[in-house]
Amino acid sequence: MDLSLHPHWTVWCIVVPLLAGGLAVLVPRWGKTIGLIGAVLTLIVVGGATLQLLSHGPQRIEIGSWGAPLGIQLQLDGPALMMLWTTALVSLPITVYARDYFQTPQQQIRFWPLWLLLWSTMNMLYLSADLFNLYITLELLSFVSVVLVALAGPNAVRAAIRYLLMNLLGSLGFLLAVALMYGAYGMLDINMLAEQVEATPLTGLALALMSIGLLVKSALFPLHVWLPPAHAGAPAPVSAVLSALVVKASFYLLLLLWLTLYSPLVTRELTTLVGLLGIGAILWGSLQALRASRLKQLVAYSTVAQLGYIGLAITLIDVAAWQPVLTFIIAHACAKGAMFLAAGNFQRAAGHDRMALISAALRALPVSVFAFALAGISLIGLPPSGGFLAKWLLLSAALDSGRWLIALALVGSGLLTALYVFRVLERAVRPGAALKPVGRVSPLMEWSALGLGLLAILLGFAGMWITQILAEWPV
Amino acid sequence: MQQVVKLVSLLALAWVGVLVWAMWQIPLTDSGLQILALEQLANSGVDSGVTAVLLNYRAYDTLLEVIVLLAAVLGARAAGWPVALPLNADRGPLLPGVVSLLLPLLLLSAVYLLWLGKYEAGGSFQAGALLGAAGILALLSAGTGEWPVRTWVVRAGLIVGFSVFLLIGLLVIPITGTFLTYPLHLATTLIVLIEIVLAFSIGLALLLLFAGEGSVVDPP
Amino acid sequence: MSTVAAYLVTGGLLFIIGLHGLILRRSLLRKILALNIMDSGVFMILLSLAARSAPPRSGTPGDGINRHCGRRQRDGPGTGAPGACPQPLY
Repeated sequence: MDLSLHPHWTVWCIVVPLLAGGLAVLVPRWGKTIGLIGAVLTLIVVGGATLQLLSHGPQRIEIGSWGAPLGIQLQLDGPALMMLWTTALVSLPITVYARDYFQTPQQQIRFWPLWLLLWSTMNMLYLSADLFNLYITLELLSFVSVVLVALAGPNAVRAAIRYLLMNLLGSLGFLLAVALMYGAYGMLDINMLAEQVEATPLTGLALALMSIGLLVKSALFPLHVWLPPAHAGAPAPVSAVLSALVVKASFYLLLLLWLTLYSPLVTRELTTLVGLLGIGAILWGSLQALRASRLKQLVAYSTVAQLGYIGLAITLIDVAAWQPVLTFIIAHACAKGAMFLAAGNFQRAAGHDRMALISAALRALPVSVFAFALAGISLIGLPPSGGFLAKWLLLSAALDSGRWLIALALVGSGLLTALYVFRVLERAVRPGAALKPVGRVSPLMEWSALGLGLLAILLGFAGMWITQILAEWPV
Repeated sequence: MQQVVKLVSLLALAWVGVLVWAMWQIPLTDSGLQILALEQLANSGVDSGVTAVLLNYRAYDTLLEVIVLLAAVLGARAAGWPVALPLNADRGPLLPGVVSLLLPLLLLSAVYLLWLGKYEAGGSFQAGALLGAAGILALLSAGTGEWPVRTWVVRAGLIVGFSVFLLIGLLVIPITGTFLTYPLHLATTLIVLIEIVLAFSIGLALLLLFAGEGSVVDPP
Repeated sequence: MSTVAAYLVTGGLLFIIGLHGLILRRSLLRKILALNIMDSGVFMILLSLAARSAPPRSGTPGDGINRHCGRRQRDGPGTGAPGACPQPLY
């Protein structure tokens, strides 16, 4: 039987983690096992979806076979596939890490259903082609993320609530825009809408509301205020997935809507504005990362800064479309995942993450330091890492279209990144007393961080595939 | 702070203008989708347009909404919800009598609403709300913190709604070839089945949110 | 000003009132209430959007057209021509 002919791989990408999540609610004791099996199975069905795309090209998968205006459709194309793979590849090491990270049975029981649910929700978002359905996936995504942040205990509740309020605000802006679009055009399917959309002021308002809502969720400066406390306060595997994937999901959606639905309305002025915010994010985030007194705070502010690059990349969508943005998203996902996992290891070993006293923990965990360094290399954009590939694509697109300011910002910001990465690495070679470990860091926790770090570097060699997938199966 | 208040108020005022204007711009003509929904009603398995949208045309949305509710319950316990209500022993003579009158009435209304969903506005969410209310009433008047069933039964009840929904959606694939496409002759049966389990799970989820009984979902 | 337009505008106003409250109120409970008001605003807009294309109703007021259609189709397959819901006999 030709497996690629099996038309339901796309549905399985959503259903498999969902079923595993339900099972984890039912049998909490087996949470760890269910989580790991669910993760592996999800990776396999994403592979199946790849086969499906390879042999049949981009597809719309109907749910309920009612057709577009009445029913809901899923859409599998190049960008969606890339996001599915990114999520699967980053989530698998995080799953392995979480097995050993959560120590009490209570934490384990609470974590696994939510974790699998989060994964399923992200896949739902990448695949959906219906505005209202997208709203529900966004709502579910922020909701589950907030709860995962709150798992860190009473200290994280304040951060979680701020995260919740900001995200709900973003969701509501998005929902109002969906209502306006439905009011104006009487349909919700993205592809059908894209054929009808005209540059009217009403559509413009919907675009503005949707974009602001999504930018709040994507934490683009100056809407990032909720991100550092939430990402720094969450448990390490949750920080990793929030920084690596969840903020990217809303950026992906923004890009999808701008490139398809709203393409008649997205002007140079609009993308330039986002680019300027991006430069602001890079400067402010880097500055705060240099000043941060805690390690996880530093890494969280680094996310704020790195999201600025996506803002910069968006200014180039008129010449380069998806490629630089997606490459950047993937490279940053791997690097930031590795960085947060490594930071979690240092925090576990030292019992805190204060920069002033962290160096003993760094010396005690060389593998994690190596993972952190690999991730740093990718963030700075040194060859041959994934970060280098992303920046090189951005730089060449910027130079080709003669946008010198962007090129300059790209080069300059690499320097800022290097400064705060070395601020951490320098502490690993400081002399000092040996660490009296407070908590145990298992080998799996170290190796999963390293695995993600290696992935961040190896991505530099995958440029051809990314180019090919996006060129052959655009939206 | 005063300046901030003024600024925000001013911005809000500007927004009022923009939004009111936008509302005027919305064409007041037919969107067409509603007519399409009614046209297909004969193929949906139910007679109510609303139920057809919720459980057939856009069943996938409803499936996701049920998961939102599940996430709410999982979230409430993860946020360190205070365990169990302060149940008072001093209940008086009136309470048991009133409750024994009210409970059957609530359950009957829930069943009626559930059945009504096939024809008119009604269905699992409304019935679930009533079931939740009945459960809360029973819990408050029972006087003990003990659940009459084992914890795994409660957990199973919590997920039975979305699991059955999901499994039916998957099991029809070999028959109709599409996720969540019910075969025409089975549509009514399947939708009613889904509505019943959904109502049960929704009611239980609401009850658990109210009771905050962490130890049920979250065995020690 | 038609009724539907009035509801649309009211929905927009509710959204703004909620937004105002969400930003300015300090207490968490008030913020959540404000979010609820925003929610209600959007729901009101969605409802009025649905109401603007309500098919012409017949029969007694409040007697939904869906129900007539539905009952008819259950009674006999012959009249089940979708969309063209016939006038109720009673």
